Amino acid sequence: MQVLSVAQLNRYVKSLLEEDRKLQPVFLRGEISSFHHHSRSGHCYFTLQDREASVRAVMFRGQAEGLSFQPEDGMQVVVRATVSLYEREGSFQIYVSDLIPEGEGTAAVALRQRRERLAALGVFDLERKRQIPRFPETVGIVTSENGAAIGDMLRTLESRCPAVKVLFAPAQVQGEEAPESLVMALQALDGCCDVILIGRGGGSSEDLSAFNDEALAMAVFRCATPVISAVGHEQDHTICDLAADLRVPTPTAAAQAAVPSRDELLTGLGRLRGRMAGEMLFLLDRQEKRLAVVKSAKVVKNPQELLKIQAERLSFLRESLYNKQDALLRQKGMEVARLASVLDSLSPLRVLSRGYSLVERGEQVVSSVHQLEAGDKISVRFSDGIARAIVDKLEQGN
Amino acid sequence: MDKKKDTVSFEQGMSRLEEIVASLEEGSVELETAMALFTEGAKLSASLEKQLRDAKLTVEKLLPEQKQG
Repeated sequence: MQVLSVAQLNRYVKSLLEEDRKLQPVFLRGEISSFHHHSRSGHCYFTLQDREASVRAVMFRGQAEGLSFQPEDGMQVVVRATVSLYEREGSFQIYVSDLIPEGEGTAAVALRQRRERLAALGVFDLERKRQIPRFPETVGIVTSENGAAIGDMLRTLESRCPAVKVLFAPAQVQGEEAPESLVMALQALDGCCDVILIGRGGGSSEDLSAFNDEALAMAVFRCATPVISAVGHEQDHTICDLAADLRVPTPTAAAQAAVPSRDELLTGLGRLRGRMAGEMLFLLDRQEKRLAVVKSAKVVKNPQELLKIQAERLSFLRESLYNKQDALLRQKGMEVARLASVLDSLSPLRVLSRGYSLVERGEQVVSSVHQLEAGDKISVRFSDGIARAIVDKLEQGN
Repeated sequence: MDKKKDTVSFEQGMSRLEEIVASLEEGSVELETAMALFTEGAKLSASLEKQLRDAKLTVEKLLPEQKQG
């Protein structure tokens, strides 16, 4: 009996699988789960499963890069694969060379994913939409030179408001070079005009693919000039429509949205003029009425009246001044009399008249026996005269 | 709305005219100021109307050869 190594076994089973023509290739239907895109190698790993079973799957970078969309968990797909065995782990797996979504279709999935990606970047956010100017002077147009759109736009601009300058940047609107051509036209116009119209006439969904291009969406998003998009497909808005500042259904509608109508402007001007004139008449009328009121006033009619009033006022003031002065004098006089009587009651002469007398030696009033010696000459002052005396003898205390 | 000559742009003209009407309607301006505003407004509206009536649509085509501006 021959004993094999594990590696030998795995290699042998692998060769059996790879030689089986039923398995090379095989088409499988299932749902993707545990999808993982290995960013370094670029290979994709996932599990393909249905209700009963699952199998591990690998899609190498070379094939994965050929997909127009990103596979994701839960997606129902049909894959074309070869079956083989991963020798190191002894696990069998499928190597996917192509992968087609079921249901939505490849293009629809790619478009949905692109839309989600751009939405996550904020390209469609309403808050970042630029205001379309009220009175643009220069209107930029990006569309095909041959389509119906340019004619529609120019006709509408001409009839609506010829007072604008048009800068027309022709671009291809379908075919492989269309996205780049549209981006270049847009960039050439950016900064040279006040608003840019981009669009084309109606067409099938296939024809609009250039307007679903990611690079175009980013160019519209980054454009400093407001963009009006008219790609002409009512049902399903293109990515260009969603990224633009304003989307309209037709090229004609784009031209209408870009410029005001001349007739409306003229009417508006007329209305402003009317308001201005009305206001002026009202103002003049009011001033006239004010003047009339002033003119009819008594003093203007009879200036003497004013003098009389002033004279009356003067005499009234003078009278009240005199009255004030009298009252003041009376009040002061009473005050003087009161103070005099207070002063009088405090006078020493007043005390002497009640029987007291004052002793003086020289100029000094004597208030103590200690100030005197026997033989001093003193004066004794009464209320009605003075007695000159000599001290005979001093006795202390009473 | 033609290229900037010595005249103001249509947008500037319209904004100024609206401003004039608003300050007249506010009613607190003096008569002399009001007269001056009215005169300016009348001239402005006439020139704006002339701009609208006289203008012809001009179309300039950019050459597609202008690669990578």
